[in-house]
Amino acid sequence: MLTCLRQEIFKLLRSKLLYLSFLMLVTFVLLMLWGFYTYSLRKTGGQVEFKYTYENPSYFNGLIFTLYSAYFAFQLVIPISVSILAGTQIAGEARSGTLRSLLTRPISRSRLYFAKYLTSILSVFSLLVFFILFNLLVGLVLVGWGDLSLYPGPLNLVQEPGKLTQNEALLRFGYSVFTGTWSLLTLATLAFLMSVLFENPLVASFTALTLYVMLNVIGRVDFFVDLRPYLFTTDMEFWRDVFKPEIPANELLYRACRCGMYSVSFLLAGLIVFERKDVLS
Amino acid sequence: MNRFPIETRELTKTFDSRTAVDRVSLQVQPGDVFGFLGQNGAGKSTTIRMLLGLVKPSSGQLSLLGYNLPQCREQALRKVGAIVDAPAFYDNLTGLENLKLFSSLTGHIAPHRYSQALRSVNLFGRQNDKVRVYSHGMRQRLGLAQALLPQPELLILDEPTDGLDPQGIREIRQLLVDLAKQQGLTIFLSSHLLHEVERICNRIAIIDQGRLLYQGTVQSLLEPDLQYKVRTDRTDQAFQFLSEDLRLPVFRNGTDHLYLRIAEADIAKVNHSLVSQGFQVFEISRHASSLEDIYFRLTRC
Repeated sequence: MLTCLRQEIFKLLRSKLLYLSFLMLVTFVLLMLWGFYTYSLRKTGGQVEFKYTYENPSYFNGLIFTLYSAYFAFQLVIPISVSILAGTQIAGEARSGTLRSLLTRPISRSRLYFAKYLTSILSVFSLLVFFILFNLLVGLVLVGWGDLSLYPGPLNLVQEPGKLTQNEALLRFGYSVFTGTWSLLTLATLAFLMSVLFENPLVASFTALTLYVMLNVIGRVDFFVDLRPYLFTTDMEFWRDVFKPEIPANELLYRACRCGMYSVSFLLAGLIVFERKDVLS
Repeated sequence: MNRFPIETRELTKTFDSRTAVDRVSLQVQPGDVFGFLGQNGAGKSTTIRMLLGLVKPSSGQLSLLGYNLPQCREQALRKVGAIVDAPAFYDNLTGLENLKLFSSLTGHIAPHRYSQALRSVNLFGRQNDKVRVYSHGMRQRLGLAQALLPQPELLILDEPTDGLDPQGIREIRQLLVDLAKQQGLTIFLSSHLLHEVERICNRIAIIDQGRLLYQGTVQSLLEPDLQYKVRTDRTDQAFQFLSEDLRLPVFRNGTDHLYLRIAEADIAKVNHSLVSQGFQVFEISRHASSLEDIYFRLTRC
């Protein structure tokens, strides 16, 4: 298993797709910066420096920028990367024919399957670590850090204004890497399942992403309120709960468990299909 | 099952309603260079994929090196080197990195074995090039190196000379002959190149529409088909004389030759009869059908 895992990590590190994902995140952060900058200019009529904002001179800092950036990236940019990275794991190998070369070696299918899945987890985790660190770094260099002020608004985190001290907020960003990875694993595992079902990596990634977006939208429409508890996307937003002034531990655990249950279900379904699959590519 | 390198019994694979392999029972003996022949879609690749555990049989039994599959697939594959279809590699990695990656899944390979394997397929010196710049022939040879690295007891090769130039085909043919002779390797290969198979294989199986049509030595397939080729000054009259007056089994295939299927002892009598009828006999020689002739006859192409 370790040899298999080592080889999968080696392949991941040599894959262009991983670095393209990083590049996509960097581009997104730069776009976010530009968006924040022009937004603040519009609000202040271009009279003040970038680091002062329209609401509160200490409100806008590198930490709030990172929080907003993460919030928006989690909507689509990171899920796209995750779907592509996980969706190409098996379908990509099937497409290029290397899957049959691997499976003519004396390794069990389940060992290969789990090695590839662990590699997917690692890729999601590395994306998030990179993304959060890059945002924090950009925030620090351009506007500096400070306390994280929270207001009721688009983030939908608090009902009334609250604040996290700088050190506490940095710790929460650390937590968010783990909750974010756990949450995104639901989507990654779905894409992984699609990667077993389809032999075209694009179809696998696109199907997973389409399901994610579709269920996300359905989950937000009041017509489907009765469906909401059964959608795997409903609980995926639990990752943000670590930014609430008081972390709702029980609720967070409950929603994390539900995400975990979906991941395990997708993973087992994929394993059953992969074990029985005829490799004809 | 016995410890035959390959043994299948009533091996069958159906895809939906189509039977790709129909009750195929193969027996490959140690040291055999076994040719597996059939047209495209005859069931060769599906059989090979079942042997390697890539495709699950619908029914029947199979064993590799005495290990029953699929139960003991991993133990069996430790001693098997294989190429299925066109060898596939990671294009973004070098030839050597690909070899290391695949062979690491088999077990430890001593470093000198890589250069040995690369030399044996004439790829030494190109091992640090990315596979994406390799030609089809180079990939084929890298595939062979990959199959040879674990020092297998059995090589399973699906069209190993596919896409190679004549020089490449000759090199691979020689390599396979040497491997079989010097290392006692058992080789199971499928090919479209019938004359190549005739040259290097001692035993063959012919499969058509999923069914096994023949299995045995190349010699025993060719021998019953022994004929005598006769050339005279008047082909049409000689044909009439031999077939109608002497009532002998004589055939012609549009050339100036007649083909007689008779016992060796009768040759002198035929010669005498022809000469006494005023025919000038230029040639009477043994003529065995080629594997290609018999193959096309068996598969009714």
